[in-house]
Amino acid sequence: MNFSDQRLITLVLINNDHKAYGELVFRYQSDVRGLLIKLTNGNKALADDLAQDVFIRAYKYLKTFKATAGFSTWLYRISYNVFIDYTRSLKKTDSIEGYDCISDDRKDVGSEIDMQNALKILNANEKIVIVLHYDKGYSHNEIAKMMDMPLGTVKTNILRAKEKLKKYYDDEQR
Amino acid sequence: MNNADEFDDFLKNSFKKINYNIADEGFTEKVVSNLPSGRIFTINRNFILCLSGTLAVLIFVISSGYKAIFASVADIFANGFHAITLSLNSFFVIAVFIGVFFIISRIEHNENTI
Repeated sequence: MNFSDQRLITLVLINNDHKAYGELVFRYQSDVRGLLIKLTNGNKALADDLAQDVFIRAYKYLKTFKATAGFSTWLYRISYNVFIDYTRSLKKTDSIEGYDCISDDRKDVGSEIDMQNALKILNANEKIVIVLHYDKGYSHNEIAKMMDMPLGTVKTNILRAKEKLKKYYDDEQR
Repeated sequence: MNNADEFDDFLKNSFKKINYNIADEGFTEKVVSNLPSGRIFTINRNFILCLSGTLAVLIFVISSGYKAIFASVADIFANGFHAITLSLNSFFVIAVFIGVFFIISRIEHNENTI
């Protein structure tokens, strides 16, 4: 199917077309799973389970999607909510088990382990804003809108996360 | 370029290094097979608002609520605001509105927390 996202969304909404939704999932699965892998410290199995929740939740709420933002932006917001729900469901003593995805044809396995280790020291909010800003290239304003957070909170989270990461990398180099 | 800028670039490059396209490997199929079957029924806020308004007006008319209003207005002129007492009819109307506003705010909350 070579339709635009908007056309596919319309097909899903009008005809309840699972095939059209499958096309949307196929287009964005890599972005969503990639984001969730980073948020879950590289735990691919967990990231895939959460990504599945993201796409099912997106399907249920597709009617509320406003085309003013891109579909991927909307999916990132749902990913954030699904991830936050998951972290809240964890007991205080539980933590997310780390990377099981570092094996195959990755560009730079060493960097991936290093980055996942670095991201581990951040809390959920710090992690998401850092990934959205430095990895996905969103501005502070865009993140604030997307996450429904005050701009000041986004800036504080980025600043705090950067300080933690800088300290982590400085300690690593020693 | 200061240290902060250098660290910004370092972070951007680090993320760039670990970005790769994730192969689908049956993921899409798994999601599609788990989609809820049938149409997703979502209640429109405006529909609830209209329904509640109609319901409230109906209850008000059936229970002769307008009489309570006339009586209250007459009370205001005769005795001042302190003499106003709410009738059972008015309680019905208020209860319907409060109930519906709770439902609407709940829907609003759910829509905002996709």
